[in-house]
Amino acid sequence: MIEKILCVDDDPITLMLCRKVIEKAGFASTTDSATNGEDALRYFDRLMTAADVIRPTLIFLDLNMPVMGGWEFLDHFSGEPYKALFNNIKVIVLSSTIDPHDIEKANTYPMVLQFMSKPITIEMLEELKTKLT
Amino acid sequence: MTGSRFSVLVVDQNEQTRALIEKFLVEGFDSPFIIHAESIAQGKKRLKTEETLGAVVTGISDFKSVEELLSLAGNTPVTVIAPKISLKKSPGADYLLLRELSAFQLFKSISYGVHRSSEQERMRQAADSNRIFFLQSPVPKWIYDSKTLKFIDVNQAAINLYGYSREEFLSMNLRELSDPESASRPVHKGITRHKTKDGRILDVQVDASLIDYEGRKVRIAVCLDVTARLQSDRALRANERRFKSLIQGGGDLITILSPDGFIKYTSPNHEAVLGYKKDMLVGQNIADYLHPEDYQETISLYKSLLTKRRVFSSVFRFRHAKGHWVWIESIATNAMRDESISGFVVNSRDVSERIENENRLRKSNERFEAIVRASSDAIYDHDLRTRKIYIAGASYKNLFGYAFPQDTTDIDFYKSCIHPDDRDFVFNFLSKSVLNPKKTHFELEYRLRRTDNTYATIQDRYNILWENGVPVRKIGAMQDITGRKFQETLLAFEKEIYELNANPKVSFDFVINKLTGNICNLIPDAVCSVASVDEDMKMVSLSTVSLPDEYQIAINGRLADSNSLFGAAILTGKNQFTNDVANNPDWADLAALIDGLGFQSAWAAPVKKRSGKVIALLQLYFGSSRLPARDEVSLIERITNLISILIENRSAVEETEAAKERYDIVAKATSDTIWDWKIQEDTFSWNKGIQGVFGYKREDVGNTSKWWFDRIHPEDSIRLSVKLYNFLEEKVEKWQDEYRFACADGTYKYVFDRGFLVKDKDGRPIRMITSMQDVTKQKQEEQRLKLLETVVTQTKDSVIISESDKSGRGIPKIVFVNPAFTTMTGYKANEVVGKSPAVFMGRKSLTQEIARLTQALRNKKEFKFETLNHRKNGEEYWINFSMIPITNKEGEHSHWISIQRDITEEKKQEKEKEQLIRELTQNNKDLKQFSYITSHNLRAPLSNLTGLLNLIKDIPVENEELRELLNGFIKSTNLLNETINDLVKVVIIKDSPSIDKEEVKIDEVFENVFNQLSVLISANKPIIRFSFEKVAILTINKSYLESILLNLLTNAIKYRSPHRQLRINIKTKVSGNSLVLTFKDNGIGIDLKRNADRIFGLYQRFHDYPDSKGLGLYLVKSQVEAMGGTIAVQSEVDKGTTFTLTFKIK
Repeated sequence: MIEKILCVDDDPITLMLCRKVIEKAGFASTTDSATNGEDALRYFDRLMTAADVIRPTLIFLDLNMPVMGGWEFLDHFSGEPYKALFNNIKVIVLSSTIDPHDIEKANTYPMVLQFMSKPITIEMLEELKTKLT
Repeated sequence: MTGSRFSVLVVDQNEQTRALIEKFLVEGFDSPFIIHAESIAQGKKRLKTEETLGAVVTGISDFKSVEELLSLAGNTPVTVIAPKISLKKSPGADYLLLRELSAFQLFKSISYGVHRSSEQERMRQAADSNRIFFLQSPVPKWIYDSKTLKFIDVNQAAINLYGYSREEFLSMNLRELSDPESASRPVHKGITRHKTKDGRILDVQVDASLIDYEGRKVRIAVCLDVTARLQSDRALRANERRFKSLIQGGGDLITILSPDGFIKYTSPNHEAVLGYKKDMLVGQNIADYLHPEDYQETISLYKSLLTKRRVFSSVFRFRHAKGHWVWIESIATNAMRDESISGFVVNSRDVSERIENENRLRKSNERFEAIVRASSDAIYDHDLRTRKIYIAGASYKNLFGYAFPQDTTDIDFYKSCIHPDDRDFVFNFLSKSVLNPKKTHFELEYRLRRTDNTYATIQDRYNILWENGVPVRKIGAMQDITGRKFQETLLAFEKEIYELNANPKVSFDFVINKLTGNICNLIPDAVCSVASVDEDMKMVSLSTVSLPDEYQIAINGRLADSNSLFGAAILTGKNQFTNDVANNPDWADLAALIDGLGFQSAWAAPVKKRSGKVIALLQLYFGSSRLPARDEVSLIERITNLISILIENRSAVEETEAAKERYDIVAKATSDTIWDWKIQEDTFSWNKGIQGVFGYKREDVGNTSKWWFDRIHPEDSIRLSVKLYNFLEEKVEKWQDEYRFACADGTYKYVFDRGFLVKDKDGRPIRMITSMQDVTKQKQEEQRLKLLETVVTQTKDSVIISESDKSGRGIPKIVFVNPAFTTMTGYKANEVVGKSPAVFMGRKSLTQEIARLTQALRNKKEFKFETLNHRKNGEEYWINFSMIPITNKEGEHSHWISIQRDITEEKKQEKEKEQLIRELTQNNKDLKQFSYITSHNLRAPLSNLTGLLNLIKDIPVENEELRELLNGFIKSTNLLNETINDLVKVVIIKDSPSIDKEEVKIDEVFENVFNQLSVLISANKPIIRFSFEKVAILTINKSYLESILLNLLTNAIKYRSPHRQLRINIKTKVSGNSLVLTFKDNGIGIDLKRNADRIFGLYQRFHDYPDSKGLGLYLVKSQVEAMGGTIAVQSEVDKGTTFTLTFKIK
């Protein structure tokens, strides 16, 4: 089981749904959340200074978010200082977008493991689980 | 006089005197027959009845009486015995004084009288014979008064030639005979033109010599008809002129004279013809060089040039530098008005050869005439009773060579002298002439032997004297007409030869053979041949018949040895004779030549040109020993002259032929059509061009000017006829015109026709020769060019033609701009021509293209570009600029053609279009973005709902009502989700310009689809039949194909017929480059009549089925088309539906 997952989404219901489904599927022990890209970067900024805090293994990232969207986050996150510190964290893009360019673009980031279409389901996590192991 | 009694009439009243007279008569004469008359009246009576009176003696001596007797006595001498010397004597009588009368006196008077009268008779007869010669001559002759020019006598030949009767002639004068159009005054000597009674014009050569005749000055003229010869001359000249006009150049002497006769210019050939070196004659007066005899006429002729444009001279003599005279014939033209000449232009030619020949011929004629005239008659008196013949005078001896003792011979001798062939004829004639006393005068011709046993042809004219009803004497005069006969034969022969020679159809060989044949007739026993001789003394036989073939072969090509008979004749120019060929050591080679031919004598006579040059050799052979008589030498001279003329005439004819031929060659060689119009006769002749160029058949070509004129295009004919008229009236010098001339097929050809006139000696146009050039092609080209020019000038595009720059800098110079150029650029043609196109091309416009432009200019390659340019006034405009290199015939680049099109408007429109596209693209993008956002925004809450509902499923719900509500909630959410997903699919397909394609096997795709639909299939149990041709592989998007087949299969099951078992037929077939997939069911079908245009539409539903959304077929069609395929449908209600899908293989 994964120790910690970070869900980044501006929609609180989606966040709630994520937490519930993860919990139900027994996918991760802890689920942290951020409401947009900037919020997520701040979260990692804090992790940099707090050495004893558990770091997430996986990020569920939405694309359309206010303040800072998913793409901007990925751009920042794949650059320094984050790259050196969090290079083993993988990202799952979880979006309700249908734009084929988004799916293509997602695959250009090495840290992005997969593009998944909302809603998140237990079956999806089960499948992911086998993929990760 | 012996042989018959001499009868004397004695008239006297006085018995004594009469007796005295009778006594003396008897003393003086041998028993004279004396008739008495006692009065003048009685004497007159006796004179009338007595025909054979030998003399009259009268004692009645008064003038009146003597005259009366004389008037009746005729030739009978009258002696008057007068008592005293009377002052008034009759000139016809001899007077004796009575007192001095003696027998001797009387005998002497009567004898003299008889002799005188016979002398008078002879004179009369001689005059007669001259007259006969005059009258019988085959050459026309006449005698006319030198002052009044009235004709005094003419001969038969003249009557025949002119057609006037003798009476008509004698009422005319020479002036009336002359052709008034060609000679202003009658010509006594030289060539002139005469007119016959029926209006024919004759060219004649007259030669009239002045003689005294019966106390007045008359001229006796010989006239030769030279029409044919001059025609040949003229034809030659006309041809030459024509030829020269066509070819240029010429051999005439050209002299320019000032009006007062000073020579201003001489052409270089003066030296060759007249011997004067360059310019030696210039500054001299022509009068100093003319022969005195020709001086007056020639000078007055040149003077007449002051009023005439052109004169033709008769021949005249011009002094050669070496002193001899050269015969010249000239045409002089007044060119005073021509400033470059301002004098008379005289074109002359040397005609000496011709004139000399004519003179030689005439002289030899004259000589023969003289011989004939010199001959005198032999007088004889034949006593028919005694058969004795008395010969008077020496003529007989001269004629025949016989000297008779006492001038007497007899009939037997006479008979023996008559040619045996003529003897019977002569005696028959004689016996007939003594039958009728009324007719006493007779004439006949026969041959009489000479002492040398040759025969002379004589004309014998005699009178029969009757006495008491009995013919007693025959008194006659014999004239030797051998010469005349010979002359006549010779003239006839010459005439025949001339006629033959003048006939171009008769070959020269034939003429020469005829000539040699005739010579053999003229010179008895002769065999003859003629050979030409060239500079190397090589002989070529001209005659072929008189001598055996072996002689001809031997002589042909033989070089005459200078020591041979022939060589001697050629080298000395003199006749050579031998009467013993075999034994004459000098002519041994000749003996070898004629060995076996049996000839003993050989004569060789050179045929000379005027210059003395020997051009041929006449050879005569005889089987006997023979040297020519004097007249035969003359004959040979005459024949050689004739041959010389023949050869030269022939060369003149050949020259004419050559000129004609040259002309014909020119006419043939030229591609032009030549016509030759004889204006007076209106005959038109054409060369072959009329057939070749215009397609007329030879027989269709007319020979009049009308035929030509009728074929000129009606629109051209008036203009042409005006120009032609001006030309013929000599208002203009040259004629040329361009017109349309009809071809045989009725089409017209453009021709360029150029002509010149041939004029007669009075300057009247007689002939027009032109050459017609077919210029149809040029004309068509011209018109085509005009049309092209119109295109260039009328087009809206600006056209520039520039010259390739040879300096290598590659910047061409403008040579032409069209009006559109000025309109477009604002620059006028004169502002840019000669300059570089850079003048109107802004530097700015060129900079961006400069590299490409330079490259293209250097490589002479076509190029094109668009640029913004500026008009002269600074206004901006867009041009499409193209430059095309043009090469000349040699393939060298010569010009550039550049076309500029103003594309400002197009550019503007293009910009607007681009703007529109940009806007539309943006809109489309925005819309797409909008649709993504919309669907994202729709899907986001929907996915939450779905997720939430998924969580609810696992939570048990106790409340029945809540469970029912939640179930409805779940169903609605699922339906919404499906709808949204379908829509999203559509959006995505429409937005996928590039879809991934992979190779798929159709049967595998079907298997996959059946697996997905296994529930549905097992529930309905359709009969599905596949028929795949081979195993079809398509390069296609796999998921789309799945989706398509899924939809079609679902539809087939969904809309199956409730009344029958569902059957589905699926077939693939490769057709060409395509794969055709048919999907056929037997379901409820669709009413295509109503719905054909909507069947593949979005949200179209044709059956009220609960889960039908109207999206399936829309999606199918979209997917098929996204993969580049097509879909078609056939359907019938309650029968079934067939979909046909076609994809491109590859």
